Amino acid sequence: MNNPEPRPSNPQPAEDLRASADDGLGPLPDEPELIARSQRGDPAAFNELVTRYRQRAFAMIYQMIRHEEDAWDLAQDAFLKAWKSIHHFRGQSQFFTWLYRILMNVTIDWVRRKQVQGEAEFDDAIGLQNIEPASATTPRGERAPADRLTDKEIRARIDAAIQRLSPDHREVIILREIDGLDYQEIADRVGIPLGSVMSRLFYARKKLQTMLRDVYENL
Amino acid sequence: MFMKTSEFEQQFTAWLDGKLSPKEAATFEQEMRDRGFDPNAERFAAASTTALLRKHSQSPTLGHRDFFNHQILHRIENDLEKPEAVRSGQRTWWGIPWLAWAGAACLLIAAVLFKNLIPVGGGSLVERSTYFATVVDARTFEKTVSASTVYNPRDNVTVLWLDGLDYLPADFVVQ
Repeated sequence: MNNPEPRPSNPQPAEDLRASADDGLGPLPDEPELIARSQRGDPAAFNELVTRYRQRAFAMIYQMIRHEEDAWDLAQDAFLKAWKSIHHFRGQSQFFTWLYRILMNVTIDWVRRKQVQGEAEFDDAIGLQNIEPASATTPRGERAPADRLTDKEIRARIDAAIQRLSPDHREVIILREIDGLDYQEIADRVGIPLGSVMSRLFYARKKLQTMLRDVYENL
Repeated sequence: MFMKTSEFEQQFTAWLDGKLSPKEAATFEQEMRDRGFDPNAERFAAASTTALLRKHSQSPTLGHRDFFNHQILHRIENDLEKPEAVRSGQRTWWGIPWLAWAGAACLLIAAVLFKNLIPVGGGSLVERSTYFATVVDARTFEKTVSASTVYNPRDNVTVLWLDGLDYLPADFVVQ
């Protein structure tokens, strides 16, 4: 099994990479000016911010919902919300951190609406007593090569497993396992205590292990 | 004695991510065994799941990027074309803050009117007035008889005037 580095980055076009504020590069020097102009109602300045962050926004939403067209639409809605409330941005955090909360709120609202409409189902009430020790998941033997899952099938299984997680669990597992953030960064980003981050990670990991064990056992 | 569930979950996560000291890790691994977890199997399962996720969770590139921006700008321009009152929402007369203020103003006006127009205090109006007359109904049962009331402010007198009566019955009492 491959064991990639802890920070696999999502593919980003060059123009979007310029603004990878959350990758430790920090915002570009003209970003405060763009924000100030946007706050004064300049759509051209906001358009520049959209260009900088659109790929990251889209990728984050996509990881949460695993559907390309819906992620595109939700990213649109989130940017529009950001435009309408940009006058509330006081610069106390990085712009992307502020934008991230809007992206996640839009996404989580959408996911919950899906659940209400019966199109999504996940279990948020998991407890330690429901957790299966991993020792129950030790490999049972090799599959024949012809029976092995293709990448497309594996991807479909992962998508389905992620969609079974509650939005809260989904968010932390993506930030930790896919984006590679540390606990404190996740706590700051999500706005929850450190202990809650670790508890959510515990359950999210355990649920994913249970749902994906036959996949990783037979690779 | 087991540690609390929330503490176990947090320690488990820290242990898995290598955040515990060797001594803490050893203590925690013993607790795991006591709870029926095999540390090696847990580590294998977690590492396998993480690797699987990372390998197969690449996000696609945003499609139609120019149209993406164009569409947002279009929606922003539509928004800017709306009157300010509609755009900002809270400035409309139908916004919740305005409804709340309107409700409070109505209550205040009602309280002022009640205080000034509705007499309060002990006793009825008749008891507190030197003169009080109420004409409840000025209709008559006889078609030939008509009734009217006349108030004379100078003398502070109200007169019930009946036309068409032959005579006033002896047992008639104006109440």
